[in-house]
Amino acid sequence: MLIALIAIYAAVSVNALFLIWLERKISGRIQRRQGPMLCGPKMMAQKSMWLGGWFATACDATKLIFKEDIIPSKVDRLGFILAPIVVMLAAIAVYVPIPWSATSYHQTEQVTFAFADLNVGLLYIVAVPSLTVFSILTAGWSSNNKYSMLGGFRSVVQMLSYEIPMVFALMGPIILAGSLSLGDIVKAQTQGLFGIPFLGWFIIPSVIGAAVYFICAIAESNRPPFDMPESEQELGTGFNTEYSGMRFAMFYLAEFSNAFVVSSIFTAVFLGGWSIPGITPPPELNLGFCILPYFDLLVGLVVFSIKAYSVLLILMWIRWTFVRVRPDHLMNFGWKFLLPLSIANVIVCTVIAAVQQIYYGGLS
Amino acid sequence: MPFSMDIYAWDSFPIDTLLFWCFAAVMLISGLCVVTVKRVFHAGIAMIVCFVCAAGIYALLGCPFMAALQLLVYVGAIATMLLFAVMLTDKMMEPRPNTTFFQPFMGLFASVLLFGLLWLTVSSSKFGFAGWANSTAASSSAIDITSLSTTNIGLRLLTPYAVPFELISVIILATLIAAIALARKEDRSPADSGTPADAPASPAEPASTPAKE
Repeated sequence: MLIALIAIYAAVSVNALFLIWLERKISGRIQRRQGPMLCGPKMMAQKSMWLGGWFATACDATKLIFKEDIIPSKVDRLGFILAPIVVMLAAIAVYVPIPWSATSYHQTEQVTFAFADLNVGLLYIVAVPSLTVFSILTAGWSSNNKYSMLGGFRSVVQMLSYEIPMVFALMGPIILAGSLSLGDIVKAQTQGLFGIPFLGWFIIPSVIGAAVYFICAIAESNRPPFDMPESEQELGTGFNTEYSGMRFAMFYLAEFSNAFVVSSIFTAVFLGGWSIPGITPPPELNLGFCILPYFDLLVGLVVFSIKAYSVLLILMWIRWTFVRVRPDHLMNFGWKFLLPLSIANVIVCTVIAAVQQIYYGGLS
Repeated sequence: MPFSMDIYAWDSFPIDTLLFWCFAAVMLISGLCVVTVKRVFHAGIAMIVCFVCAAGIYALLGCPFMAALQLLVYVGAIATMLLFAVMLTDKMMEPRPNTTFFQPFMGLFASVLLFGLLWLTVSSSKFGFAGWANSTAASSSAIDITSLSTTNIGLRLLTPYAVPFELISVIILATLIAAIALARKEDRSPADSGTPADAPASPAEPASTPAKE
């Protein structure tokens, strides 16, 4: 169990490092930045456009590890030390219920491959990031710096406001699947809608919900164009101004890890998770996948990663294309546009679920 | 389930009992810290630790729904809002000023009163666990903790307790409207000072916050 825990930590950190490289690479491509495209041995950059630039992340990581760990004298030590730890803790704890894949090998029914397929998984995924809100607020306040504090305030206001449309957007899939467990939600998507297997993905009946969730997820993970809490032009990177070295790196890694979690959740809830529409769902076909032990598990993992990283690429594309929105525009957009839209989505999903229930039998 | 890291896999080691005592101890200590620590912000942090421990105890009791709600509502919304309000007060980096002479006695009186009330409530209600030998048959009217699954809670809320549930939502709606009415700025421009304010209500950030709770 201890080994598994350490493996999770290592996997999360390495994945976040990889994402930082990917993000820089994409920013270099989109905004023509030289460093991320060319940094490193010259021949590598000449050989392939994807090989150049991976030195930048390695240099960054080395710099952050060896940098002096500064705690300014006027900060509130308890909050200052606690905040990055809690951010990292929350970022890793969110990984627990994500259904990476499933297998029916040596099982009577499909078993979800997750760290723990909680029966309140979706609620858990919404609840745990609230620790992030708290710790960003703590980081901002304990830095004893008015810009950091403003960053903390903005973060709380933004996250609490966007949490509400996000939960409403996720309610559509919950109603359609009839369960809060992420494994069950993926399984419900393999069964198809109105008897057609290709309509199974919940992005089709709750397309509004998917759009609202996507926008709210960007806001929740503090990524541009919703990165008011750390806008460097106005606040000097906001809540993490006073942080340096590994303490700063924890915030940074947690941000990238959260972006990956958000796209994984989007994949699991709206894009059918590990399933391929029309191919993987039927259990009798699934037996054909058992050529090798756990072959269906591997296929599911690959499919899930392809979907999740595609969503992540769209997130990054958005980040480097749009400019930051104004705080008041953000609040108006969240409360006056996204919230009514997400409630409408709940109604649409309820109607679809009822029709499906009456004419085509139970969903799950 | 070969893939779930089930903590109950170690049959001989009572890890849930150990976890319970850890949560209970941390909860009590942090609860004490809330009222004894000098800085108000540290008290807020201690309160959040206390809430997280309560969520852990709910999870150990086999009610993950309550645990997730505890995190979502208390840690995510109420405690963060409280800290937010505390931060807006003056001189937050300084330790709390000395209290007056009578304050400890008043606090003692109030806490003794509250403790008595809680003691009466707890001692007068029957708690039953399905796991305890034959206790379910004996106490059918007792609160059965294993029935607190998400499905059961939903069914209970929408069938026998539908009216109170709807009433609560009406109260929340009233609070929401009241908050918007309070936060609404009556900004009349000098041109139409004669007419009543017909400017569109702008629910700014303060109006949005009570909706969360």
